[in-house]
Amino acid sequence: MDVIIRKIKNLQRIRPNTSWLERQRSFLLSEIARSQEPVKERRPFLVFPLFNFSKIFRPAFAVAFSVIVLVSSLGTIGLISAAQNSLPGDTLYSLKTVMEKTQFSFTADPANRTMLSMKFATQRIDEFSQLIDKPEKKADIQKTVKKFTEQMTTVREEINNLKEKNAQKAAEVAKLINAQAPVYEETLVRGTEKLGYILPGEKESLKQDINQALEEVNKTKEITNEIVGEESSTSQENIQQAPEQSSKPEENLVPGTEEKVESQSMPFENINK
Amino acid sequence: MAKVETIDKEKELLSRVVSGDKDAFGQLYDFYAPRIFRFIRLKVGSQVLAEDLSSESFLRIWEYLQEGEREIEDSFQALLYKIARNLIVDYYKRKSSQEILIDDDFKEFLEGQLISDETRLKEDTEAVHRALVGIKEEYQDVIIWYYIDELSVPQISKIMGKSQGAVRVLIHRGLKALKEHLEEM
Repeated sequence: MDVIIRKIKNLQRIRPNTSWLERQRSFLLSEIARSQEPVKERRPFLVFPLFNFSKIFRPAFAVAFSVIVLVSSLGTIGLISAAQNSLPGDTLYSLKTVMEKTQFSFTADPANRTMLSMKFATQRIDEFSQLIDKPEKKADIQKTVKKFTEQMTTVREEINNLKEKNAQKAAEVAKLINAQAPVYEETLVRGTEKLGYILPGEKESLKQDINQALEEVNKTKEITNEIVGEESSTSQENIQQAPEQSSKPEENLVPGTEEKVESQSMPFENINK
Repeated sequence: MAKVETIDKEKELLSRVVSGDKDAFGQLYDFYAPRIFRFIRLKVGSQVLAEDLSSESFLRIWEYLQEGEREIEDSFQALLYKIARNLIVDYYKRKSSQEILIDDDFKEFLEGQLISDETRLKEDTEAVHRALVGIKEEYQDVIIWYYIDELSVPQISKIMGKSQGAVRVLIHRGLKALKEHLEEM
């Protein structure tokens, strides 16, 4: 019996993967933190500053604007608003995608096109984070991840296009994309972790799609980092070539390296001036 | 916290968890996560499934402890093992009704765990595991808890809701069944 017991005890050496343990710890604690927050009305968790209309609704304009909107397009606005909150698989979701395509095709400015494509990527990731809790929508989860991946490709194409036309603006937009990328990654990783007990049978195929999406985010980050880096070195060269301007405060000498983009709203507003 | 030193410490952490303290929960997670993973990993064939059920066990115990005013009679350990055991049972019930197929990758997993060991030891360990999963569920549980997790008979009796005498009998019978299975292989 002692021999068997010794053999059984060999199984004590089984241990989970350390990185899984750590990832799981932060996932659990973040889930707990979320469950402790008061329940809010469903809305996109990533607010895109460029399209934040709240500033329009200052008290002075609010009444007039509301009257115009109510009288002229009560039905339409309700429908559009409902469509904007819709999720893949909902009846109004096709209206949402049509509106996005229309908006994109009518946008000519390369900077705005890049930011718009990033806004749509953000919407896909927002939809993913809401769908992941709904196992009955498993087909839509997979489609949404694929749509997100396609959208990241568009973001890359647009930023490359912008870089050719206006390198400085491209660097500003690239910084915003860099700030947004970790949110995409975190949402995708968190989704992967949830998959196991929400859709245990679907985990592997969905995991592949999610990995591909993460790869696209990485490729985009490589390009945006490159753009930011190139722009910083160009600015540095310009400064060295113009020493008379070096009397400016030191922190302004190397645009792009002096500040980390913590908030997205400030740079977005600057870009659209 | 590297280790829950005493039962008192665990009790204190448990009462903090009941009042919603997630840091206390994090400390209990650090101590119990490797054990609960091992317990589940030994009983289910797939790594992915073991990770998912371990994670689910912790989420479930948190939710259970947050459900209103509750008199907690069990220890955190007993509750956690009970939840994990129920999740495994539920999974196998669903598996038989929905035919969810997940590959058994224990052999590959063991290769990775005992990477520097002799082939003989690996073979022995794998054989013991194969024999273990072949015996009755109750026997598997007591053998894992008693010999691998090194829980005491009173601790096991709390998890199983059986008398200490009944647990001793189960351990004895479980070991005998395991030996027979090993000899048949």
